[in-house]
This record gives sequence, structure tokens and C-alpha cells, in this order.
Amino acid sequence: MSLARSCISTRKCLATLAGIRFVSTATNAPVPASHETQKEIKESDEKIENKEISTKSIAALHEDDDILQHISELTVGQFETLINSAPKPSLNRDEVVLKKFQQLLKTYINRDELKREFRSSSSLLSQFPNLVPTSKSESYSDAELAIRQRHHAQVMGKLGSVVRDVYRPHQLINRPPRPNQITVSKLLACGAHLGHSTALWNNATQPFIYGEYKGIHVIDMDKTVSFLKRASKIVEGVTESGGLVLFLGLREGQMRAVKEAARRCNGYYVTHKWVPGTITNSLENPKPRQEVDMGDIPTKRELNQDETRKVIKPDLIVMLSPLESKVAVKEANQARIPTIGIVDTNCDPQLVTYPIPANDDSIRATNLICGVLGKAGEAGYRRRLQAVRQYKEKLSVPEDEPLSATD
Amino acid sequence: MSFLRPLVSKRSLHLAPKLELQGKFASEGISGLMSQQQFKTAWIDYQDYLTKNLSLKTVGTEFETRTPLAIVLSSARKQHLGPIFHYASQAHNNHLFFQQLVPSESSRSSLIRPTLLNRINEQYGGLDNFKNELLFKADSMTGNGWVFLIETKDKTLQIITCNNDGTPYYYGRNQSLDLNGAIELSDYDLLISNKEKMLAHVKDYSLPLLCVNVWEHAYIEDYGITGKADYLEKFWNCINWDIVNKRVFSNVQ
Repeated sequence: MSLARSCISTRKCLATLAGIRFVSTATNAPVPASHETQKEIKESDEKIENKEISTKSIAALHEDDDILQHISELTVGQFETLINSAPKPSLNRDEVVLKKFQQLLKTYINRDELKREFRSSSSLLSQFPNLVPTSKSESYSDAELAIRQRHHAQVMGKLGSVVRDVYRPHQLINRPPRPNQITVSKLLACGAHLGHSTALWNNATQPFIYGEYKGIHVIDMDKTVSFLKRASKIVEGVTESGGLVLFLGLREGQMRAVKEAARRCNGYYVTHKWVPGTITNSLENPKPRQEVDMGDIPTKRELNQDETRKVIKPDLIVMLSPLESKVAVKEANQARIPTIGIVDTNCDPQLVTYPIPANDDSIRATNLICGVLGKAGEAGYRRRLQAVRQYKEKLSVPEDEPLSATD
Repeated sequence: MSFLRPLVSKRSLHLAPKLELQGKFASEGISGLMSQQQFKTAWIDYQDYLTKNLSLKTVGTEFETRTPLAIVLSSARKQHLGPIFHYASQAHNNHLFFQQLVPSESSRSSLIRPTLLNRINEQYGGLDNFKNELLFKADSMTGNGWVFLIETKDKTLQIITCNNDGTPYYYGRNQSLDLNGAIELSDYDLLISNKEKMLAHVKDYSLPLLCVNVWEHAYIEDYGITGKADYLEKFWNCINWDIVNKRVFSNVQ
């Protein structure tokens, strides 16, 4: 008994060392915690058995010299009771393993969320798992120096002064505001309210004009905000339904914004020149082409001739200056593609389906508007992918596989 | 007919940052180191002055929207940008100094992290030795400046003195030599080697960890012109080691 008790105490120590605590239901039953303790238990069991047998055999020794003979004299039942007299390890270990597995499965299922959690609270070094750290005596490697510099920038880079509310051109492209974050002050700062000279006025833009000042018309920014929000909703809706958006920015400074907006909503862009006939006189038929499901996974279906020959047209065209891309406007009309465009005071708002009254000559203003529309498109695109993912989960279709027509 | 007062908002590009315990310091001073008036002079007024001048000097230039450290690094090699460098460097160094200060009672609760402490022990043979060396260098500076504990590219710690507005980030502009008088031959050699390094565009990967403000305006109101040593002693007891610990980079998690 004393041996058994000592075994229990050691096992308890091991259990707490491993960080797991169990309360054994049986007072005498040893509680297993890991493989190592299992072995110990087996050994201890054997010890117990041996002890018991040995006590018996010791007793028998006094009677008989031959222990084995004594054992052989036992009946099968007696022998079995003797063997099983040692306390069996409880089956808690199954529950334990099952619990652990369940936890692991849960974390695996939620691994996407987990990644985000880790990223926000993790240290800088955990973002670089493949970094080979140099030893204490060596100097920092180039990779480590770069990371060290980043760490310094995070901790001490901004010390000295607070720089707030400052125009940083790259932010319009990298971090454009969302449609619900557009304000009149942002647009005014971009110079979106500055229309053209009153002599060049297109009368049809009268509803958008706030007034006249120093020979130019000033565009009403409240209207711009509402028209821009409407346009963002349209871009969002198109991308959410799986449509193709084409961004058209033919001026030199608009290239980056247009590219980035197209990248955000999985769309396309044209920057330098709109080749006349791109839509209506499409000479080059994009090949090879494939059908994709609503989650952008190729269905690998064999396309028939008509489908292969068909001209691929965008479902929406965003023009940063429809006045300069009149050919594109005409083609869009002919192909019945809805258009969004920035309409200045010298531009006819009926050129496009959804006008946005603003200054098209200010690159800062067009970058802002393009960024907002791209961001809206991104939201719709993400929502579509998320919806498809959830639908696939419901049908227990793996994510890589496309949805068939029957799904 | 209501009279609409025109809304004129004044703001400058660079604003003086607010310390964590600024409210407390502004009313009581840093207990154990500075009185309320001294703190006002050395931080509130001085940082305001630095940021205002930095704004004025950088408006319309390429440095317009950059942080003080960025301005320091881009103007360190250009002598014609001396004024811009001065305000940027001072703004950064001053904030670095005041960020690490706490009342002396709270300083006792913060401990130096083992990575830093081990390195100090290895190189200086103990924290007390390090303290003595740091404060000695600060005391022996004639004139204004800063003393920094920097970590170099070789993972070694160094104590460097920066005269006036010197920066610890670049060897060519740390102004560690007092060139107001005659210099030793070794100092001259250092100048020549620095010049050669600068021409060869040798990079400096030093980063500061600890800062001592040896500008006169930081202690003269409380300690007088002769009280520099007292001020330095008291400074050591007011360091918030938690902040310093965060500045230390370690390449293993």
C-alpha cells in the first residue's frame, strides 16, 4: 500500500509539472497524465502485483520453497483475480485525449481568425519565422538590421513632434477613405470644388453648381458627396454580383490610383490610351479563357464555340474624365455598358450613366474619387467571396473546388 | 440677425507631443529631479519652441511633413541645412530624454530587462560601473549637449557624448568632439576617419537606448550653475526602465 501511495504522489507531481491537473475519482486509482506516467503506472502496477505476489510468495516461501509451483497450483479464476487485483488505470485518458483533440480541431477550424489575432498582438519577430538569429558574439546580420530598424521606427521613430492632418499623396492610393468616410472638407482640400471658367460652362451642369467666384464656377460639394456615395454603391453592387469593372484614367498622374483601384476590386484598367474599338471592334479575342464560379474558382468546363468567340466586355466603366475619353463613352453606350464618370462644369452630365460632379483637372481629387470607388468595389468583392465560401461550407464542398451548375 | 464669427483655426505642422505624465509633471514637476518651473522650461516651453521653429523652417520644403527623426537623417550630411537639422535633432533628443523619466518613487518599481543588464555587466562590469561612467562622461562635458547609450551594429553598447545638437544616429553628425578649442591628435585622427567614412557612404547602424540631457536649461533653475553633478545623480533615480526596455531590440523571441 505504501508503494502504491508513493506512486500516486510522484504521478501527481508529474501531472502538475505537465501543467495538467486532475482530480482522481478513485482514491487509490492512479491518475494518468502522459505516456511517461503510463509507463510508470505499468511499472508500478507490476511492482504492486509483484509485491502482492511476493508477499504471498514470501508467505508461501515459509510454507513452500517453490513460488512457481504455488502459482501453478492456483486455478485459472484465482490466477486471474490475482492478476487483476492490482488497481487498473482509469479510462480518463480517453476523455483527456478527446478533449485535447476537440480543442485542436476548434483552433484548426478557426485558424483564419487565429492568424489575425496573432498578427495584432504578436511581436515583430514572430512575423519573420524564417529568420536565423545570429549568436551573441556575432554582429547583426543584414536581415536582423532591417528588422531592428523597423522595431526602432515603431518604438522611437515618431519621437519629437506630432504631425497631424497633413496631406500625404501616397495615402490616397494606399489607404483611400471608405464611402462613408467622405466629407466635404476632404473634397475641398483636394480642390474638387473648382469648376471651369464661366465662359466654358455647360448649362446642363446647373444643378451641381454652388455659385460663381472669380470667373469660375464652384461645384456644390454636398451634391458631390451624395453622387459619389451613389456611385460607390453601384461599384459595390457590380463587384458583389461578380461583374467586371474597368477603370479609365488617361492622365499621367492617375495611373497609380487607377491601377490600385482595379487591383482592389479584381477589375481592369486602361491608363495611357483608349484604343478605339476595344469593345465594339474587338480584334483580339482573349484566349485561353475559362469559366469561373462565383468564388472565382475555375470550373474547368469545356466552352462551346460561341462562348470562346464571344467578346468579353466590362460590366461597368469608371471614367475619371469622360470629356477626354469620348470614344470610350460612345463605345460604352453602343455596348450598353453603364458608366460612372467625373463630370466637370464644362462636361455634359448625360455622357455617363452616373455622374459625379467634381473637378476632373485636379489629380488629387480624381485620385481620391478613384480610391473611394476602388475601396467600395473591394468591399463588394470580399462580400461575394465570403458568401460563396459560406455557401460551400454549408454544402460541404471544399474551398478549392468549383460549384457545379446544380449547386 | 446673428453675427457669425469667422472660424479661424490655427495649427502648425509640428505640434509638441504630450508626455504620459505631463499633467502631473506640469503641476508638481518630476519629483526627485525637477521642479514645476524647471519642467516647464525644459519641456513645455522648449519643445513648443522647437516644434514651432521646425514648422517654420520646413514649411514649403521637402521636409514639410516628415517626422523629426526623418528630417535629422536626411539633413545630417548637409551643412547648409544646419538650422533645420538643429531643431529636428533637438526635438527628437528632448522627447527621447523626457519620455524615459518618472518620479523617483515609481522608478524603483521598474527593472532593467536581463538582455540589457547582461550586456551592461559584460561590457562595464556591473550596473554601478556603467552608471559611474555614464554620469562621468556627462559631467565632464563642458557646454551643452547629450550623452547617449547606443547599441551598435556589433551588438555592443557605447556611451557617446553629443555636443549641442548632435545626433546619436550618425557618426558624422554626433558632434562627439568639442571643436571649440585645441584637439588631441587622436581626435584629429577620428575626424579624418569620419570624413573618409562619410565620403565612402559608410552606414551607421547605431540606435540610442538611454539619454542624458546635459543642456544647461535642463538643470540650471533648480541646481544652479554648479549643481550639474547633483542633477545627474538624481537623474539616475528617475529613469523609467520599462521604457528603456522597450527600446532594446533582441533578435530572439
